[in-house]
Amino acid sequence: MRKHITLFLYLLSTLLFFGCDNDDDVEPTDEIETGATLTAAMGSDLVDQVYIDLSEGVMTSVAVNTWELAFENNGSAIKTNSAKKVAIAIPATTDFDEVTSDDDLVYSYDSSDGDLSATALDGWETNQPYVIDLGVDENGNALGIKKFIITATTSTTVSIQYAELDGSDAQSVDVELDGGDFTFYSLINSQTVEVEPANWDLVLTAVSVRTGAPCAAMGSSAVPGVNCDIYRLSASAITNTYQGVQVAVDNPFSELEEDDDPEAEINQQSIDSSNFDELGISDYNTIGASSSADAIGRTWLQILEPHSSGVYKVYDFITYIVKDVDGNYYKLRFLAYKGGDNAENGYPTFEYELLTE
Amino acid sequence: MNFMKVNNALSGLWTRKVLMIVCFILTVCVLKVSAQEYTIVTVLSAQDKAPLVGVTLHTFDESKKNGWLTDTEGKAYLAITEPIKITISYIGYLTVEKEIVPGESTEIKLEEDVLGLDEVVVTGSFTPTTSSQSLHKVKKIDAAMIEAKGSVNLADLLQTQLNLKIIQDDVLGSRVVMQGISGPNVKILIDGVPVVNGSGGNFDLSQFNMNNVERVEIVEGPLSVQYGTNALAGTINIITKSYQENESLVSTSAYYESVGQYNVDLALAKGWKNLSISAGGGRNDFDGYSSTGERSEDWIPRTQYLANAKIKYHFKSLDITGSFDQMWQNSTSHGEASSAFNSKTSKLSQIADDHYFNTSRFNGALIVNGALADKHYINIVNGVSKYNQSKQKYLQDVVDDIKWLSTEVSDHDTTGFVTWTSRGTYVYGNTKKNSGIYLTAGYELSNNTAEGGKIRSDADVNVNDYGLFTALEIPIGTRLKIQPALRYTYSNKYDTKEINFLDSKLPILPSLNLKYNINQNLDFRFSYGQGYRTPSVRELYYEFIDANHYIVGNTELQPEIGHNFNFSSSWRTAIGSGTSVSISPSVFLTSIDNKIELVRIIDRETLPEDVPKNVPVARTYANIKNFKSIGFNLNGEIISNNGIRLNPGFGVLSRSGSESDNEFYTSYELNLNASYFIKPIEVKFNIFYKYNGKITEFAKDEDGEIGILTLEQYNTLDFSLSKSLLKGKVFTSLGAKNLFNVTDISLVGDGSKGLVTQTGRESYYPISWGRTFFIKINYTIH
Repeated sequence: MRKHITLFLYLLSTLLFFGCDNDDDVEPTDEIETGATLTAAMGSDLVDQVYIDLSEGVMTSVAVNTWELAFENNGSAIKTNSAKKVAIAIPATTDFDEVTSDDDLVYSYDSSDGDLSATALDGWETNQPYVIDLGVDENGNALGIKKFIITATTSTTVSIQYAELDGSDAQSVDVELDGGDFTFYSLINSQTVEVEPANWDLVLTAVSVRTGAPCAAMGSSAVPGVNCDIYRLSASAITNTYQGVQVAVDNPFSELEEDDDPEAEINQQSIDSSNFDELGISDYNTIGASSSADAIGRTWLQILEPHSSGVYKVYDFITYIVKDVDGNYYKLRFLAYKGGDNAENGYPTFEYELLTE
Repeated sequence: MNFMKVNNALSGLWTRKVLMIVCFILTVCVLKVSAQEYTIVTVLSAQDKAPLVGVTLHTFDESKKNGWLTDTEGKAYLAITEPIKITISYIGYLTVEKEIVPGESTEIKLEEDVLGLDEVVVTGSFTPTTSSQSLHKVKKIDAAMIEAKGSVNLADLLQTQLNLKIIQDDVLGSRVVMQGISGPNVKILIDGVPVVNGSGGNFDLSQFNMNNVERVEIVEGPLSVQYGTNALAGTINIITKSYQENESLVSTSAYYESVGQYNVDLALAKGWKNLSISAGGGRNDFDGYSSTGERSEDWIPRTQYLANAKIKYHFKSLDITGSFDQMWQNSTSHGEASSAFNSKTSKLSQIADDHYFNTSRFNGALIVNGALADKHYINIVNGVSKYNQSKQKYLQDVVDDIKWLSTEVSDHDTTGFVTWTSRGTYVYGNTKKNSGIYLTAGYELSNNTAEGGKIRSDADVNVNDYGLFTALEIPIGTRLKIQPALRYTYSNKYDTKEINFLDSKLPILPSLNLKYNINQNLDFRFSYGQGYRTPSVRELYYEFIDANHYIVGNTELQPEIGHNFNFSSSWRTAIGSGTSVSISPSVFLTSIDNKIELVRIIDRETLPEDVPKNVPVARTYANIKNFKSIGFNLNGEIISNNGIRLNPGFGVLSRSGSESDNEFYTSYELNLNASYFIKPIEVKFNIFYKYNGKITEFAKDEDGEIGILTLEQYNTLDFSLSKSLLKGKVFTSLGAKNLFNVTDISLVGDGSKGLVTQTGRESYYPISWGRTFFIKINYTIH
């Protein structure tokens, strides 16, 4: 299920021109990408995740609805698929067979910032049953609920049992960990799935984001998922911090608060205020880099009122200086969220440029 | 010239001349053969005492059939030996009955029919009748009014009418709300032929052009016995122009309105003995209007092409009419452009979604009406009405001005609706004299189909209604007329027995009409009608699904059953010399069970799997348990012979039902139509004013809480003046519309449905496109 698509929609022509002019004999594979404008086709329903390797200029598109759990190969963290609203609830019992419903259970979601220590399954224990909401498909249909229990782990396998809440369709599987950073597993299809490409710097993906009030703040009137803790999917750019990607952010309007009012001051700003052209490698250090996976995150995108119109403001005045997995420095900014053949939302376009000393 | 009487011409002049000649010959013959004594009847105009020439006098009693015409001195010579009762009628004047005693010369003064009491109306009655004789209260808007208002289409014309509201939607157009009841419950007829409604389930009144219209008749309340399904809230009958035998003309007109409307039309008519043929066409161009200056317009730009033709053949005492009218409309709904990366040019740009609509409307009719023999009248109406709309979505790069077709299949579709109707009516009665018992029997067949992209592919799209009806008009004494009527209804889709007439389990719809004349100047009308409407093809099988919409029909819908009571009175009097006053109060009550409305789908989990749960617009049709509207209207009319005419009106409308737990929401209306004809310069000034009070829509949400949405009050005022030049060859009208410059009116509240359900707009409603100026010039050669 892995597609490699190279989309050079727009190469900064001068750089390309000089590159070819200087040395025609150099094999292209040896050369790193000096800059490009790319459109990541996530789809209007955010059905695909797009992994980006900046130095190769390669985008890899992966369908979202293929896995639920991802096991860290060299550690104990377990991620859930935040791109389709997978959620975890912990029953009071430790007896797997006693778990028959999710009534009165509170679901939790992986933190949208990609922090491995803030996943829904952070601090998980063997032989503790969990209830998992398998999330939604591309049309928002619920995919169902299962229960699972991790019975044992070794450095190469995770032993997991899972079943429907009524106990039917019980499976007992030893998931073999693969050679990447994470091993992705589908409880729906009972198989491991290849998701992440070998080399990537950032991924454009949907993440589950809470809208409205947190249930904790509402006391007894809280009905999770109904009047609080409602999660929706939102496009985000998550960096591969696991492999050391860091980001310095230049935001000329960092003092302005984000706002969905089209008339708000921040929504009046344009690309003309961008420092993209001036920023160099030294600014990476001056500004200070963050190793947070959501250092880019959703900061470049703002939906405007009325939300039903689906009009987004792209904060193209923000420039991100990215140190990629290979140690190259790139400056990057988002230009549009709408794009593709039918000019739809879910097709973020960004441009980036290699920074040299 | 007094153009308020354009229709009065009817068969007027020509018939009068011929009859006059005949009468003179007869008179001469009579004079020669007999040396009898004559009783002289002199007919004068009540206003200026001038003799009226060619007035028809005929005997009241059928057995002693006789007739006379007045001569140039307004005198008729009657050779009678015993007292007789005669009817004196003259076009444009009120008909009078009088007893003539032999030997006593009589002078009769005829009042001018300024109130239009003797004007012919056809809607609701089984045979053509007059305004004053009709059992129904028929509101008439004639060609003169259409001209004075500068109305391009039906929406413009009905804008300032009492008890009517026009609601505008950018894509669906202008729809009508009558007696507080919207949409499919209003029936629209063209020359009595039902017209299929359009994409929105409502009629888009802006698709009905006024350039070929002689008058519009409106009857409020159900005419279900006469016209079957749909006619619950009321009926609008558009009467197209008809030309007389031996009449030939070429007429062309041009219209400009400063908002950006440019219309031209041409009409040709040629008449021979017993035959007339007419044809016409036009082009209407509208630039569109956006109150906010945004690219997306509240009134979308459109171009309409119109064509119509009519052939009328007079055979013995029957009229056979074949006609069609066709409209093609190209319109474009522009989207708001927003920042996007253009994959075609690989440039950052501004891209909008634009929807291109091609709409076509066709109405064809074959009508046979007239007397088969004395006292036997028939009216057979066969018609077809077709509506077709195709939509294509383009992506428009507004910076580089390039556009391309969307690759998404669901963005394009073509949908068509067709209605075939055949209605036959036979009336037995003295239709010439409008007296005695009338017995009516008739049938109606209606076949409705739909097909295309917006109709469910598995739909059984034949929704057919069949009806047999009968009515009996009984005069009781000279003052009271009663007409009970029944319609037996059959539908291929629904068990019509649920109508359950008088608990008999019979599918019979009743109506009762009553008219009581206290005297010539005061009458009362009462009507009761039961309405029945089966869900339309659209309401059952509509399917509009794209990235932003999920609007679907509901096959579980139940038919609507309604009851309407209407009580009205009309009082007329003359004040001093030459001023007529009339006052007409009316009250109505309508109650509809199972009213079908478009409602929001609140529980998104009920949407099918392949529909995104977060689709912005999710709607379906549902039955509302009960809906009621109660109203009071007071209309006045003051007409003075110095050229002043005033029509003030006041209306109260209260709406309620199960959606409001029977709490009533009331709104008020006021209007004033006034005109002043200045004879010396032959210019007519017109003013049209309407106050629209706050109107509240109410609906229950999923928790049973009543949400209300209130449209704020506003006033509209139009002004125009009209004049004919070059001996009537040229007729011009010019004026200003919407002098108060009303554009958007705000909506307040948290209601979830009603007037705005279909658009999803929240904070305002586009009412008008602001102040404009218009001029219309018509040139006619006879």
